[in-house]
Amino acid sequence: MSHGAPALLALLLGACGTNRPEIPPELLKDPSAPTGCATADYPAGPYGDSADTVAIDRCFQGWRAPGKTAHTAAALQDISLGNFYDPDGSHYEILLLNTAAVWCAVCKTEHQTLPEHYAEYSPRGLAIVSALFQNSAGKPAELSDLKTWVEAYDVPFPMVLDPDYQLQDYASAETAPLNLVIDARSMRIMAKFIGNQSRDLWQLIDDELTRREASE
Amino acid sequence: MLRTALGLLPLTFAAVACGSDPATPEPPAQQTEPAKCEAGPGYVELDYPKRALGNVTVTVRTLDAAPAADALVEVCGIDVCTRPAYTDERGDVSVSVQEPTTKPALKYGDAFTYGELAILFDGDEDGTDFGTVYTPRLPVTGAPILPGARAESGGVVLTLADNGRVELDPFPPYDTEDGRALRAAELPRARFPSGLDHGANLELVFALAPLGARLCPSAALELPNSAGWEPGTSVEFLLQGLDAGTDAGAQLFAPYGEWQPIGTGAVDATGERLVLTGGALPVISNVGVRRL
Repeated sequence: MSHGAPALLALLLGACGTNRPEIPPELLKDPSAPTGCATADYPAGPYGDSADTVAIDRCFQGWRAPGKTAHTAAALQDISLGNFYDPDGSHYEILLLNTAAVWCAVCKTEHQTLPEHYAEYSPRGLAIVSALFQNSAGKPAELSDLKTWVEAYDVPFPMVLDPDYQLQDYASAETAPLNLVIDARSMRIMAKFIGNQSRDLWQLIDDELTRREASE
Repeated sequence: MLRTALGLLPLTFAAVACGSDPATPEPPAQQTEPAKCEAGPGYVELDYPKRALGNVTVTVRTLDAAPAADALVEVCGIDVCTRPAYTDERGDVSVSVQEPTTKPALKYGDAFTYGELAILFDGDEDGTDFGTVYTPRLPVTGAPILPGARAESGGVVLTLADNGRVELDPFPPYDTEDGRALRAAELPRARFPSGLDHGANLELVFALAPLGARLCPSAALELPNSAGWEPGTSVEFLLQGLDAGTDAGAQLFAPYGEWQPIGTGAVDATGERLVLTGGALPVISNVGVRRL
C-alpha cells in the first residue's frame, strides 16, 4: 500500500463522479441520500449512527483542496463520503468526518490544530472532511461563511457546506463539533466523538493506522 | 506555545491598512522588527469530569436592571459547545444542553452590544437556574486599535506598540472595522454573579471587546480607578480565559473560565487610573483587578 503524495491523490481520486461511475438516484442504496454525487459501489448497510454500522453516503458541496482553489461558488465541487471509500486501502485507511459551526468556539480551536494533524496523518492514509453547518447566529451556513472559515484556518483538507445539516443522524445540530471516525475500507463507523476529544480521537487514529501498517 | 507551533491565524487585520488600496503608493519600506505575538504559557486540564447539564435557564439584565433583550447566551465547555440562544424581551432564556460537557461555562453577552462574561458550572444537575445576571452595555462607538496610539473605551485604555498589530478571527460581529474597535465597560462589584471570579477574589471587572483579539506584541493597559483607591496602591491584573480546546496548550493565557494574573501595577499619582506596569495584555478578554 502506498500513501504517497496524499494531497495530489485526493485531488485526482476524490473528484466526484470521476473515479467511479454515477448511478441513477433511484438505485441508490439509501433513498434518503441526496442525489448528484453518490458512489456506485458504496457499501450496503446496515446504515446507522453507531459503531460498526455503515455511514450513509452523504453528498455535499465544497472545496476539495481549499488551499489550491478559488473560494467562489463556481469552484464548488460535489464531495461525497463515497469519494473516500477505498476497499483495498490504496489511498485511504481512515476518514475523519468533522462538523463545525461558526458559533462554536470549540470548533474554531479544533480547526487550529486539525491541519497539523492532517499533515501528520494524511501520508499514512487519513482523509478529513469537515462540514460547516451553521453561521454565528445559528442559521444555515452560507458560501461566505465557508470562505471565511477556510481562509481563517488555512484549511488544507476538503471542507464542505452542510446548511441542511445532513449529519443529524450522528449528532444534534444543537451541539458541535462532531468527529466521526470511519474505516475507509468498509465505510463502517469506528467511533463517534461528540465534541473535540482530541486526546482520545488522535490516539485511536494513531493506534489504528499503526496496527494496519504492522499487518501489511 | 500552541500558536507558535501552529502559526498564527492567517486572516490578520493589521491596525493599519497595510497598503490595501492598490491606488495608494506604498511608502518606502521601513526596516522595523515585525511585531511578535506572545506565545502564552498554554493550559489544558483534561481531568475534569463531563457534566450532564440538561436545561439551563438564566435572566440577563443590564446594569440598570433593564432586561437585556436579544442577548446571546450559550453553554460551552472545553470540548463541546451548544448552539447559542437569545434572550427574550424579558431577558429570559433557556438553553438545552444535550451532550455531556467538560468544564462547561455559561457565557452571556455577545462581546459587542453587551459584555460577554463566563461563569463555570459548579454542579451537575438538570435544571440549573442561574437566576438573574448582569452585563454592561458596551459603547456603541468603539475606539480603533492603532499602532502606537491610545485606544480608549469606557475608561479602559490600550496602547499598541508602534509596530504592533491585532489578530482576530474575522467572523461576525468582528467582520467589520467598526466591529474590531475596542469597546469596554465595567461590571460593578455589586453586579458580579455568583461564581464569576472562580475564587480569584476580584474587586473590579471590566468587560472588553473584541473578545479574543491577539495584541502583538502585548499591549499596555490602563483601567479607571473606579474603586477610588489611594495613589500608589498596588494591584494585580487578571485575565479571564475564554480559549476553549483540549489540545495541549490550547488555552493560551488562562485556564478556560478562570482568571489568571497577567501582571501587577498601581494606582497612578493622580489617583485616576490603574496602570499595568509589570506585564502587558496579550489578548483582549475580560480583565479583573484585586489589591495586593
